[in-house]
Amino acid sequence: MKRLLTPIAICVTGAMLTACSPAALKNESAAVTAHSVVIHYADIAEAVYTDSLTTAQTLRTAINTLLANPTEANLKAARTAWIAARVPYQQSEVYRFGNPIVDEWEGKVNAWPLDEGLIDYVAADSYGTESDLNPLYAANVIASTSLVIGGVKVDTTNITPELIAESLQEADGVEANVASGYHAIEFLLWGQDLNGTNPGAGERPATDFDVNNCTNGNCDRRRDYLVAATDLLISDLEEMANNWKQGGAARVALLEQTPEQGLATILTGMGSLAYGELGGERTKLGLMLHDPEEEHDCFSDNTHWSHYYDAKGIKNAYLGEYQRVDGSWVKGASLSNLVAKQNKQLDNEMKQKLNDTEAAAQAMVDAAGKGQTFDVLIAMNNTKGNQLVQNFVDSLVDETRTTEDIIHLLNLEGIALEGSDSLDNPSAVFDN
Amino acid sequence: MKHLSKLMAFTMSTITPLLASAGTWEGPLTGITSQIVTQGYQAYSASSKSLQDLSSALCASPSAQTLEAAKTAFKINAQDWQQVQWLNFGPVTYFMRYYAFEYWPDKKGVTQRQLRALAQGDPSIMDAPKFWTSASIAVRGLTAIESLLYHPDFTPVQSTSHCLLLEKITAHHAKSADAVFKQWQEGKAEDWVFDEEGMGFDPEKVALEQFLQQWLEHMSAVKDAKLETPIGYNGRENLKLAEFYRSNLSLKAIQKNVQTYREIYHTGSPSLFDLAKQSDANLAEQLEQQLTENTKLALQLPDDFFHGNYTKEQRFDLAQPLVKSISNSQSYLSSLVTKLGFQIGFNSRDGD
Repeated sequence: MKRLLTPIAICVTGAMLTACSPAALKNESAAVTAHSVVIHYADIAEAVYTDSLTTAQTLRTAINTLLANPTEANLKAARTAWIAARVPYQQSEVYRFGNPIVDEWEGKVNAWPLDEGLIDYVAADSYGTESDLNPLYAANVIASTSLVIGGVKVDTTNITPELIAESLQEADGVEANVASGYHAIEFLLWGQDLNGTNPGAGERPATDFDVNNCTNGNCDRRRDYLVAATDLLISDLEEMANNWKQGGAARVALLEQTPEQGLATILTGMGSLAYGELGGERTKLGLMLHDPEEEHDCFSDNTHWSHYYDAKGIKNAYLGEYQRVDGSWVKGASLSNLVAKQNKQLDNEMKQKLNDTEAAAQAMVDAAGKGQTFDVLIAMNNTKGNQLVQNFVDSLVDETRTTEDIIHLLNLEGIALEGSDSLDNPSAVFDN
Repeated sequence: MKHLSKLMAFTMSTITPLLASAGTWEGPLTGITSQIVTQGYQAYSASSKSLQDLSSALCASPSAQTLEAAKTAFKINAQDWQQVQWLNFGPVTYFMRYYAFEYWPDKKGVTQRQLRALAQGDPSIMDAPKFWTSASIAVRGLTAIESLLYHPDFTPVQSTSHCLLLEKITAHHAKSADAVFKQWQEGKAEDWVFDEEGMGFDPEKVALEQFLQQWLEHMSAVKDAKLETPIGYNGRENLKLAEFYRSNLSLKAIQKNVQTYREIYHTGSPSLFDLAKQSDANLAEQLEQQLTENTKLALQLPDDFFHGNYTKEQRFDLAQPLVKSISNSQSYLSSLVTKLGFQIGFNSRDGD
């Protein structure tokens, strides 16, 4: 099927990789409709998932280099590539809620938190050796050529993408058995962060991947796992990037709806990510438990950036823009344009709230730069750090309230935003 | 109690109140506040103090007998909690008390991990000012106390550090329960609602609306988290996910919850039931019958429902009538609150 390209769609075509001109944007803005907003939302999805794929491929290249020559420098380069890969992916998370195809797939690539003892060795004194809820809590597949999963013996001699996807991921029906995706790879690159709520990330040595000078045993299988998990991530991202191309399943599902339902999808994603997921599960709960295990990127201590780019993704969805990893911009018809046509003040308010959230996220990034990473910020008795994280939560909650106002303005019914009990009364929970 | 998945829906419907005159809601609101909530917290506070005292006695004289006495006190206290658990509103919302009273379900073993860390650390930090009001919700209440008394990783009879931890936690827990009781005793529900829009409002109605919202949500939690999830009604069976599984209170908790539901409906003069009859007699009666049926079905479940040697299918068959009955109750209550003129968006812990 031949793709009909709108001026905006042309701008986001991967091959061109050039920014749209302001003049073109202005014309599009004048003609903005619910339909054009939804189309452009799909175009950004295509761009952001394509970028997620290409950065994962870059990560794979860095891992090849690490495995060919397992030095600390090459391990550091692989870690840097992993952090870079998170930049577009986190901006894609706003597509998760509201698009069932994305939500059903998401667990394969970004599930957390994980019982990492399923994958590799762990420090028994802090991690423990067993869990009431997970029989595979410390199964250590890297050290085992067979496992009993759900009463069935599974041959794990060869660690392949298929083994990870079909037998290990959510093994025995336990969500914490996260065997695939960014966080499994993160664990392999960093190892456990044993610093609790003190500064410092995981400190896995490069020799864990060195078959000639192996530390902690099973380096050959650890290498196999790293390669298989990364290849699986790439194939999963490829699937989702294709889903957003012209004729792809996610794009078709989105556009089969009425334009108003499409707008509801956008707002569902924005509100659910901001409120229930990012504000609640990934941030507020960490404050309530003061537990470094509640940190999203807990091995690498990259949570500040992950949260920043999650928030950025929400802003992108509203403004109809996305800066690609090559620096070019995808810009076009936006929800902001649509809201402004009906209520300029509300549009300005929403933009201000999004900027406030970005500033609150930036404050966490700045703190991390001074050694106060997310796990340090949420520590008990770190009053200033807790407040910094609380500011981020508050701004997300505030932003969601304005999202509700937009839902009402656009007269969209039946929108269900993912919520979180931990956000019920955020202003009253701390003893100041 | 912690609920990780809650849906907030924003409804656009305009509802015309049928019983809108001032003072309409005073009867049920005052009745529920006084007889269910305040009296409930009075009992909860008293049994929390008893638990604290018996934990101290255990640590002063560790033995199988003193351990058993502490366990008995725990069971009484945990059951008292079930009377008030449905309401996450008012004083219990301060300092995360609601979540701290019971951190559940703890799917990641956070409680045990954090208890281990506390037991291994310097105990003097637990005496620092504001330690407990800012401590992790996982180590402040019943879930932590149950772990210390029942989990094999903890041995308060043999371990001084474990027993000290038990003493500290039960002392904070008792203080917290008493603070909630005293605040309810000295105040009223309307003190906890605010005219956010600044356009004037009926505080009694808004407070009762909060109660009803909480009640509806709790029904979903009982059906889903307490009953369906552990027995694998919609997925994999994991009985250890049942509430207070280790102390074998999972079924008793459900029984207490559904008994409380009927009390909520009938408390006050007039009660919600009385007002419902004026609005829609048929619907009011349907809810009444369903609430009665819930209690009957919950009490009919075998005492060893969560611990006995049943197959998944057997548990499923045993639970099905109660699951359906609670589900019907949710539907009737939802319809009724709408008929009464409350604007409750379907803010539900329900996965349906």
